[in-house]
Amino acid sequence: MNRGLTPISRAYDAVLYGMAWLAGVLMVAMMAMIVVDVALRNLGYQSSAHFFTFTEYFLLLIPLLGAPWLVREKGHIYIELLVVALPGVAQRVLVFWVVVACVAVAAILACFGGAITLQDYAANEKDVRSFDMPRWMLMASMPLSFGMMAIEFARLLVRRESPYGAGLSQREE
Amino acid sequence: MEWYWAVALLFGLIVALMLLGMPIAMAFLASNIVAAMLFMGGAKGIGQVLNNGFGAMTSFALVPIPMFLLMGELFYYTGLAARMFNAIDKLLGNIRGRLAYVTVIGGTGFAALSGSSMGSTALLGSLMVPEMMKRGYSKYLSMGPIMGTGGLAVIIPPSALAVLLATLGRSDVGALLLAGVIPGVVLATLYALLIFFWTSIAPHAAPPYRVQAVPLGEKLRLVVLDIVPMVLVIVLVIGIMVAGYATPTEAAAVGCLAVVVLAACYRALSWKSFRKSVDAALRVTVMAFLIIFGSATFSQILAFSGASSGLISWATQFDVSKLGMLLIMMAIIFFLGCFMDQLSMMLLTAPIFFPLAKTLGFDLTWFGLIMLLALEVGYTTPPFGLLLFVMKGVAPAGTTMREIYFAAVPFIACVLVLIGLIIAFPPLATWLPGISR
Repeated sequence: MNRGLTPISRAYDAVLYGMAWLAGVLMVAMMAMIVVDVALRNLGYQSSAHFFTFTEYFLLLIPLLGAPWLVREKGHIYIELLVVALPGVAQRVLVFWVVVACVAVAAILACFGGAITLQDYAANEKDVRSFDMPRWMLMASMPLSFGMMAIEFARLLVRRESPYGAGLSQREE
Repeated sequence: MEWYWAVALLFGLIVALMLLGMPIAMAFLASNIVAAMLFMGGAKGIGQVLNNGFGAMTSFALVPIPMFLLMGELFYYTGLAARMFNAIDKLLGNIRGRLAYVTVIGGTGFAALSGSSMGSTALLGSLMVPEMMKRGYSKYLSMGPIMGTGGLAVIIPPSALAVLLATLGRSDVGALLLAGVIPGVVLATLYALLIFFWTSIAPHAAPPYRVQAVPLGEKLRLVVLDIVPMVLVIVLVIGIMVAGYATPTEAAAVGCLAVVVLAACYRALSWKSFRKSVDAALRVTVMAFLIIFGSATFSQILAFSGASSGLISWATQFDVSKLGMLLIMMAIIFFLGCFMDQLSMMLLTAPIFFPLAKTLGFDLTWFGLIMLLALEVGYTTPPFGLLLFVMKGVAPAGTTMREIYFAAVPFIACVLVLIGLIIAFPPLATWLPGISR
């Protein structure tokens, strides 16, 4: 059975890390687009309003593409005062229910995100900015992101891992 | 539902979930789901949470956050931060308490470019404390300036936190960024004065030691090659904003590119350092944006349930002066700082405090700056200020929390003095933004 799951889990991991990689690329692309826009404008050329629109879409896509990866990397911040003060068993029970709640929250948002995406698709909704973007194309990132977040939190439960990482205070050298 | 029950439910639920150890972003989203079900028409409300998140995230005003974060990470991972520190270290010569001054001056530069008090404390703590302890500095003088420079990170531009606060408070982003320049310099000066008097009154806190003399030519080389270019990046970011060549949002991206170019000039830009910088900036961006995503509906539900207007009407009905109200708001932030990070504190309080400040007739830029400083004080306030625990994490083995508290107190006092100065002389905060307009 495990042998059967391996290609699926590999493919899933490739999607998860691929999404994070794409989020990083979008961040760098955003910087490049804004710099080009500023340079063109100050050199007296007409800049494209699409730069502005794409940047705004990137702002939505960057966190949503990176969110499942952040759960995998245990990069979320949290308040540890109560968790660390509890004795072993109580701590494990609390952490278990916290992760269950995270799975539930992410799954609910994935379901509703999916429903909105389908509605937008059926109604041919457009996000009107410098050009008309089919709204479902943007909204589809929500069920994908929250669905994968739910899977990542559930994975922690299955592997009996803590969701807590080192936090922001420790940098990779 | 009466507004006070709505307030109790909204704040109670979110604080309870945070205290139970739920990741902050998930805590905001979970309480939004519950509150949307209650106040926004049941299941339809959850769809509204997602639509609000869509609207909040696709806002150009948020661009500086990833850009300033990327800029700080590039500065760190390409080794430019270490270069600047080494240069300042060599330049200061044989003055008493030199390592404490190095921390304040270098920390000011790093804090300005990184914009993160946590990152600044973690870096300086691991870099400077072992050296100061080796030279016989007292623990208090070793750790205090490090926690102090965190206060500079949030106010000296470019500061991602200032951008977010201005966005949340619907005030001028550029004005709040510029407002931090003069107070930032004043605070760094207060820290330097504190170290001067400290080492004068208690010389044993910083025993003198011989430092290898650096020839004048070498000093000039260090200034020109390792300090001026870094300072120029900060000047560039602030300058193009003031001169009107770019908006604060655009200045952030230009500053980011400037660090890339600078690192390339120093031949410090490798694929590895670039990838690490993007990776680190992405982590914080995703985390912060998910929290913003969750909080987008939170402020709307506060308004929708009548909690915001009820709380503001209630707060303003008392016979309390404007100053009294400001102090109460600061006290609330100090209290929240005992167990929350700055981002969470800001997202919880800004939707109430900014409308309240507007009702009271405060200049929102002036108020925003005071709030930023209060957030930093809350972050460093014993017994639970989170920065104190970051310091504990990088302090030498055997350092007690009590020692960290005592080390932080004089530097917190400096920030409080600065807040007092800004309240007494508002132009400290409002003069520079006024010029740029």
